[in-house]
Amino acid sequence: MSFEGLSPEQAPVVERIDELVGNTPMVRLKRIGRDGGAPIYVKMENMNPSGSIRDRYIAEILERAVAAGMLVAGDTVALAGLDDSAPAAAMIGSVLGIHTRVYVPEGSDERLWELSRRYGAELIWTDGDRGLPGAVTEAAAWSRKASDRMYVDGIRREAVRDAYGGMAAEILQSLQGQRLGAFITSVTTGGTFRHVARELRETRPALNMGGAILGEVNLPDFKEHKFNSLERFSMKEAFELRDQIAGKEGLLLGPKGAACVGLAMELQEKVSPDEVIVALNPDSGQRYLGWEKHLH
Amino acid sequence: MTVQVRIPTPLRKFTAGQEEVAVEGATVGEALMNLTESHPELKSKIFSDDGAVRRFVNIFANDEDIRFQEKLETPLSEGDLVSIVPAIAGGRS
Amino acid sequence: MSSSHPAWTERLEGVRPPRRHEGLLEVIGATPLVRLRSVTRDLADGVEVWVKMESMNPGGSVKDRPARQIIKDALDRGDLGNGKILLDATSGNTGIAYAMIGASLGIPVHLVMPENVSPQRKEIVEVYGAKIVYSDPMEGSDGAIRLARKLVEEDEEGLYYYADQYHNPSNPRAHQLTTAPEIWAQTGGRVTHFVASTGTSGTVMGTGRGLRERSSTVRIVGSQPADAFHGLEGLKHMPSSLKPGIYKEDELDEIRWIETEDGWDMAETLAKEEGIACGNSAGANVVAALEVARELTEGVVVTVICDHADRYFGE
Repeated sequence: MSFEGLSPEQAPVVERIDELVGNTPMVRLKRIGRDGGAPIYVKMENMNPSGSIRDRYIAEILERAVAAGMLVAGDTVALAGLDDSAPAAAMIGSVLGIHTRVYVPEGSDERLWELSRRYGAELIWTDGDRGLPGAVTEAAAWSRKASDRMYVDGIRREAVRDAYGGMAAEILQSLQGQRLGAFITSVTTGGTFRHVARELRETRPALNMGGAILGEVNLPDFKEHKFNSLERFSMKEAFELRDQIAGKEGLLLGPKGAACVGLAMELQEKVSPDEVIVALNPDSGQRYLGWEKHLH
Repeated sequence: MTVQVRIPTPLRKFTAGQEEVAVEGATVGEALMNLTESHPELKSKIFSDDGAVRRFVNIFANDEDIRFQEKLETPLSEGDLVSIVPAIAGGRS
Repeated sequence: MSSSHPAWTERLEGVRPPRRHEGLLEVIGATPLVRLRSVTRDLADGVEVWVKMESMNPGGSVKDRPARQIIKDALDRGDLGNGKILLDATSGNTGIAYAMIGASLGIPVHLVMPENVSPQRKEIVEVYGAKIVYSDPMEGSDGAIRLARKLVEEDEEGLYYYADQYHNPSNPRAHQLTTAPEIWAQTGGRVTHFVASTGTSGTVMGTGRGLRERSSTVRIVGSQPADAFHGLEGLKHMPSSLKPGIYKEDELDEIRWIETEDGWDMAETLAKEEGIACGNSAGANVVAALEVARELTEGVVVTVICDHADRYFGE
């Protein structure tokens, strides 16, 4: 086993925290998975500065908007829903001098509430009965009322495509020529899956893509592809996998990342042992501790 | 009425080593005011200049945090126990 | 392929190349150094303040480094391995780091903590499979240490390796061997002041030694809570505490005394103005670093973001 980390010369030096978005490490699992199977690496997106993969596209959105003159210091961006985008936007906004307002349906779980506020986000409750669509409507309506406001989702598509395409390039680069046999991501809207799949399949059309679907979300509409493996995990199964991985590997993943590793172990059957499997851990495991019972 | 105030270890040097000090007071605020009158060095440890309890200091009335009761107005009865606890587990080691 | 993406990855190639690691322990250290831009507005033009992002270690705190070194050195000596249990009294970040590394290496970990420790602490060490031994809540961290020592004294079968972070020379050595050379490389040898608050004191002692090996003029500044009664988790007010065996006050050039509220406020300001969400003891570090920096007309001051704010949030 190796105790050595990177050399001192490899430690990054940056002028601003948002420069550390992306280029997250991949860590090999040693004690979990099939003996002799293809090695599984976890792409640790929780090591982004605000703690999740959302830093990537939020940075992309805000940077594009600033470059295009749509946003200047002192402006406000609005988001809907209290997911990992909220702390990401507030963190990147804080260094760009941009305020963040998050519209949250009443009754949402408050797991990311304190962190979002710590980064300076303002949280506005919306009618719980109208759910997330209601929050989206209010955030968009508020943003239209003045020119110093921007609704983040307005230019989301391109930013997501580029941010996640960039992540795919990163994965191939860190493999240093070794062949990628399968990539597994969690699926909620299917955005990450689609963009990363398109990019990775440019170099290998027959790449196995795994999608771990968590809880009760509706299955997104995927084009049939014989190398796509989609599997549903209950939150209970995901937390059990999380405990197993934390206890055997010392890696504390979120439930999505844990489900991805679960699917990765199944895909070891399909992947040649000299290839590599990469499972994505999109967010921070720390931030689920104590909230498990709220998330079934 | 008389209540007991429990003093944390780092503050006992201001109470001649006493772990508990008996004071008069019908509310937590009154009890703490009387405590800091008889032991003036405690005042700046517990209260900020504006008279509020310092943010890192937790005050419990009979094991209940007064933030979730009526704060310094929390009423006390004869023989109640008021505890002063820093927000962290800390202490000597 | 990356040419079609004008995004972060491409612009930052070289800043932090994406890497794969063959094990978790390789991810510890080589943390980023970030310049503070907003809270430094009132400083002289020739003065820079930089923070070492120890919160970006895989265990979320600076303690990954000493825990790794303590375990490595114990394995090398044969004090650990063959099913021996690592035992220490800690309810904080060191316990989390032991639990994480123990899980990764298959080393059982038992942690002694007062029974009233926060549920968040219990949850995180338990998820890594560490066992908690509870000590009397009225006796605080003293009681936890006494119970750990008692368990070791009564351990006739030799089940335990007592890691004892307050007296273990591997603790400062971790920083002498890794943190110091990193700061030296990251500042291009320009660092003039290193500032860190003392809990076990491992960070400031070890980093101080490592920097002095490279510079005869660098100043090493320790900071402490201004009062015995304080709210800066993990830090010690040395005059009223039993001094850790590894703490050598004569190796410090000066000591700064920090008020709890100033540390708390700075932790909030760093998140809102610099995008750095950290614990209150990191806030205290930055308060001390800025105090030092304000007295300079020229200099490169480095301090440590010892952990992440989200460790202190919870339901």
